[in-house]
Amino acid sequence: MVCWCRENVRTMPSALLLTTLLLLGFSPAQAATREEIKSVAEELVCLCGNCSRESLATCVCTDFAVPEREAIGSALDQGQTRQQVIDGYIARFGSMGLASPPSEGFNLLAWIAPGAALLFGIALVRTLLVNWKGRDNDEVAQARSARADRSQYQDRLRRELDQFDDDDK
Amino acid sequence: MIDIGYFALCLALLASGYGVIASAVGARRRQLGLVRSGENAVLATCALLTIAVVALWQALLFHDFQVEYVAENSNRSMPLFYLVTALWGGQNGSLLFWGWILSLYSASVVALYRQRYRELMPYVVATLAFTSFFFCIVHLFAADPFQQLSFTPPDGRGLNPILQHPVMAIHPPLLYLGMVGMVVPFAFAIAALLSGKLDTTWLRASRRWTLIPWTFLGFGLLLGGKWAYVELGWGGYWAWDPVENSSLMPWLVATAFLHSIMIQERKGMLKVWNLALAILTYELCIFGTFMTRSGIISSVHAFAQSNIGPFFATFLIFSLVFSFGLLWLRLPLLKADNRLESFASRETAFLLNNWVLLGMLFAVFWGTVFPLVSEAFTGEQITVGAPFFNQVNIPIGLVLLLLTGAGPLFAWRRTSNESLRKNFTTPVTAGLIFVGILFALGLRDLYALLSFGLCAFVTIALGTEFHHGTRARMRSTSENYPMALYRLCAKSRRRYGGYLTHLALVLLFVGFTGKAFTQEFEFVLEKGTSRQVGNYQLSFESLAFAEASNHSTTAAALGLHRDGEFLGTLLPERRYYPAFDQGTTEVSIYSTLREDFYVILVGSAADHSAKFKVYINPLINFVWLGSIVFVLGALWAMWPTPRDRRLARVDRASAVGLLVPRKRPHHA
Repeated sequence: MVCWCRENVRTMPSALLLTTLLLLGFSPAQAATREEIKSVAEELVCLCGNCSRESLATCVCTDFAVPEREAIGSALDQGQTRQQVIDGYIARFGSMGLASPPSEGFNLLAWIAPGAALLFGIALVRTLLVNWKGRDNDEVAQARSARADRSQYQDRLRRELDQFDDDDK
Repeated sequence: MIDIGYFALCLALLASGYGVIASAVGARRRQLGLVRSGENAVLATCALLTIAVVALWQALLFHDFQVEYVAENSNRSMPLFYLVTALWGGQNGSLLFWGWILSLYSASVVALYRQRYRELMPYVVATLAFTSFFFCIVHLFAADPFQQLSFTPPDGRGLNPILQHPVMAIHPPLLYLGMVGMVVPFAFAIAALLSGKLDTTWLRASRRWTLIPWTFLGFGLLLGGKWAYVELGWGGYWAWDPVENSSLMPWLVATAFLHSIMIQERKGMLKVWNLALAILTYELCIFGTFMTRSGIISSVHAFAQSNIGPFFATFLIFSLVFSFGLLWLRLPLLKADNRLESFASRETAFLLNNWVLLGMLFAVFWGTVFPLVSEAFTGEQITVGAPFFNQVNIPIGLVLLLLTGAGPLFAWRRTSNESLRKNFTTPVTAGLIFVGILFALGLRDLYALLSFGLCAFVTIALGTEFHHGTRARMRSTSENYPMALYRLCAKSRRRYGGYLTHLALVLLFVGFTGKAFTQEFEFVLEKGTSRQVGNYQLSFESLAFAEASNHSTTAAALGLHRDGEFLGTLLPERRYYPAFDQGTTEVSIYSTLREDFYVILVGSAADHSAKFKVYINPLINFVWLGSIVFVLGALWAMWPTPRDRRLARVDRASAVGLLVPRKRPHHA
């Protein structure tokens, strides 16, 4: 979930080590707002290799996500559109950089299947309900007698107990 | 001690294998002696696995680094507490822990049901013992926790630093207790199918055995969210990571199961469906374990890749084919006993609930495995991340929320138009008014409006249920309001405990919806300066560095003010663990019920400037509040009632006949 990016700092004393990491891209006066950067970065995942492709918007690894977010900011400043920035990222790192499957070609299936399953499910529920409602008493009696010989004593006792102390309305 | 542990594992393999055979043969031949012997084998397996676990704990506590697992997952500088939790910190140990919990569940079932459910128990025992047998094979042949090195290293590597957190001591055991526990309802389902005793007996036995792991799993998931939130430093608690998904999936099915069994108990309908749900829950637990540990899907939780994948895949396929094959063979015996009287009934509401939960299950499952499917067909690697899951699951989740409130407003069998109107008017009006107020206040996010409106609807709907019940009780008794409310809830524990978990869902949704209003800031501060962050003023007071035995720390001290009032000092840290070449963020949170002010120290520079990331997370604490209410509701619902005790007495009395060894006609 989070980026445990390698900080190239192993051999240096810790005060120094962090020095090198950050100052690149500390340009506070960006024209692109943080919401704009965030909304682009949310479409992408971090590919530092140490996190499990966390959202580029939230990852705090200093050798990948932070500079990439700043790169998004400067690309937007240069007048690139959202889509151009995203396409640029994909061109550099491959399609796995996208946070969700592109809705085209084979990957369209990712988006269609859940909806199709829900439709199928509701159709099934409807059929079942209609069937149940349409059953006549003969069928019901038949089904009941099929298991009538089983544990009659227990069933009757349980029913009586149920009536005596109804637990669920 | 290590040799004793290994030897105990070998004996456990034999004992569980014997348990399967003895129980199965005993059940077929109706030989009580064999059946009892099979039960004793389950108890013995539990004792032997306990010895193995104690042996591994002993090796961890006494730093026996010749044992590979101990060398990999602990070191001399670790405090006692984390040495104990290191048992489940790595692959092989956590699998042993799995197997041990399984044996504890199995032994509890055996010990509790010596005189109950006698027609089912031999098959239950055989199923439980078979699962234990499989895990013993894994322990011995694929993931040996007692594997020894050819030399003894002077010190071990230690536990992964992100796991060194108090919540990590409870979160994995809770999830395991949840995932493993689902084996019990599965065993009862298989027993019902094998014995042909397909009435509601297996359901009665399973309900509590599902509620217990369901509660563990749900609480474990939420606790995992809490851990991610405070430890992983990305401002959120749920990332739709494959491993999170793999524990969510069985929970969704178990939730569907807990609802649909009520239809069978009352109406004798959905028999096939309930069996299928019990089987599916268990298979998803095995699938989740397989996915987490085989490394087929990349995830932050994934253990090191190992050769246990094929073992789990084989077991998964075998158990799927066996269980569903058996179900198919028994289909003729599973006809519904009743007819539906009206579409406007609790039965319909439960069916819709099952539809929504299974729909969500499919969406989560599909998203989790889609990268594999896509790669197989197109050869291209893609990511299915949080945006996909959110987009698909938020609408489904809102329908679920609607049903949470609407379901209880329907009566069993049929609900007249008049009572529908009566039951729905107040909650719907409340929901609409609430949406209107929020809209007037400037809220325009569609999902947030819907979610808050539904939360109001559900709260009023359930509140009315409690209120009406209490008033009715006050009329028939002389109790005052609080006493009548308590007695009402105590008398129908299942019902009101259930409603309480529904209210927990409302709290969770309030928290989830807060996510839509998260504010995010990323900025550099010079030491001694301050800046406005949302409604707060943040001043960067100092920066400190420290070296500890196994990590170095950079910490910033920040003063937090709002409207000139000092709220507190925040101390976000960044740590680096050389042994793991891993950095961790220790976030600092100023928390109120309204919102969290969440600070991450991203990094610092030599001139004492530092970069921070801040999240202002509104309503997030409702998620944790919801978790607590969830557990309370579930505990309330599962607490034994006098009726349960009466039923147990009846069962024991009527089981005497079955305990005497004799030939009985076999029900096909």
